[in-house]
Amino acid sequence: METIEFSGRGGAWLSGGGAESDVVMSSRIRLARNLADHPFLPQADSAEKAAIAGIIQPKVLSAVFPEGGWYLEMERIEEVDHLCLIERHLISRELASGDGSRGVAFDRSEITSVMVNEEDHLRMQVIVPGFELDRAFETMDRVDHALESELVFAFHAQFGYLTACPTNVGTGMRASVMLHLPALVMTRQIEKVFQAISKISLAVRGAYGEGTHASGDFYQISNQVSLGVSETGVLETIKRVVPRIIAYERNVREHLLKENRMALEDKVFRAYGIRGDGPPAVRRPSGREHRPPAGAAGGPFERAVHPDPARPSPEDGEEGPRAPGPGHRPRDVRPFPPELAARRGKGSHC
Amino acid sequence: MGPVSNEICQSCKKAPATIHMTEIVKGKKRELHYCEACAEKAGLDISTPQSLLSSLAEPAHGSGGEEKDFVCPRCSLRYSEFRRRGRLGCGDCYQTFREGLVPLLERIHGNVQHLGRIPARAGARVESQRELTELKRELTRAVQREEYERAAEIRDRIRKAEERSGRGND
Repeated sequence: METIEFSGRGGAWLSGGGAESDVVMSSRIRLARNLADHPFLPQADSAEKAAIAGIIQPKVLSAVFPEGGWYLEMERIEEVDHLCLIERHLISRELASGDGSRGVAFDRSEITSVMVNEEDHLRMQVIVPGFELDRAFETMDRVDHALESELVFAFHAQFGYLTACPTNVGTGMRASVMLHLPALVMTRQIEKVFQAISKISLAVRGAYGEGTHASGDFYQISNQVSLGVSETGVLETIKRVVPRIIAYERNVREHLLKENRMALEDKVFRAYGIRGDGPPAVRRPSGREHRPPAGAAGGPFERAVHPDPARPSPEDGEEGPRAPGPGHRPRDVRPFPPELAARRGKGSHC
Repeated sequence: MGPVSNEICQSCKKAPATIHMTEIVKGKKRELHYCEACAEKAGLDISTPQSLLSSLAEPAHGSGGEEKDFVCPRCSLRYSEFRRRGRLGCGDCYQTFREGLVPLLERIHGNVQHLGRIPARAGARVESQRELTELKRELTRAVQREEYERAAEIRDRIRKAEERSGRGND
């Protein structure tokens, strides 16, 4: 059994930077691809799976991570490390609980990761901090091109890139942004947002994809449709909608500050008390000063609604997104969070 | 979704139990807790969100109208199996099960023609296909607007494009 030693910090997407970072935690693009000459995974036996992984692994490492990257074989790492990889958004729950030859490749920055033999032969993702979908897509496009010159992907003139599940066929792309919407949740405005979103074929999910509930008021907004729309068309739709949600959230934050400051401060300071590291300081563990982003509400509320993402949101107790923080090592992972232990969602859209 | 229990599957004793059943046989009550894989093995008819979706795919019909089960010649996946599990077995399945898949894709995506990126290898062929689709759309629009002269013009262009791609396929 191997264990992974991470660099003692979170992936780049946890840095808290990027555009609109007071509301948007991260932007993510995922592509699904399959090799043309091999059966999809539901019809692949263990020998076939091993052959597929054997073809893909060296190509991914040389074409996607020429500067050096890791490839972790899921069968050879411990279960606690599976969990660590899930929390870091490097792998999905489906990859962790799957069987046969499968793995994940990523590099030090943890911006790009490539899962091998998840639901499709290849599930590639790029995840960056803040509202930076274009940046994420550019990186993803380079990865896709680099791999396409090495591997032949299953493609159909009418149906596009072919995937095991018909919900992903076409572009094979899922673009998503992770939003932190505590003020909309507090004021029960969030339902209205969801209703509006579902009308334009976007989906809302919890922080860890399908089947997870929205812990810590984190919501993931992504496209539903992958056939009959272009990649840029999908990005445009999300880029038009998300700024309106951001503005809505900020408005409500400001309103709450004006109307209900004392109750809010009470909540915030109690949360800091529970967190157990003394009075709030406007400081990140990295030691750099935290500057409230333009347009964001300042003061204690800002700290409450934009907590150190490397720690669980103080009010969530055991249900916060348990992303590993600075100094975190896989061994320190706390007990299985309920949303991960819960039902293994069939029909992944992650 | 109801509350989630932390129960473990009583069959494999590994995966979390997601299928919970209460069986009453001759007045005797028995509770069963399985994970999805074990429930399937035990022959329980489980309906997952996935199978719900793919069951929307049309049942396949033979030429006489009787229900018929297609088998993909390449990966040997049965169409009935696809309808049950919602997953295709290989790239050829899309062609083999096309008749049932197209209405399903229409329901999922509201569309059945890929518009996104094309691999460099497939380039030219797909471009002509796409041009054809676009022309057909234009034709429909022209007819709706009662612009018949323009419609006739588009129809001729479609014929030419079809001849070209027909030759290409042979």
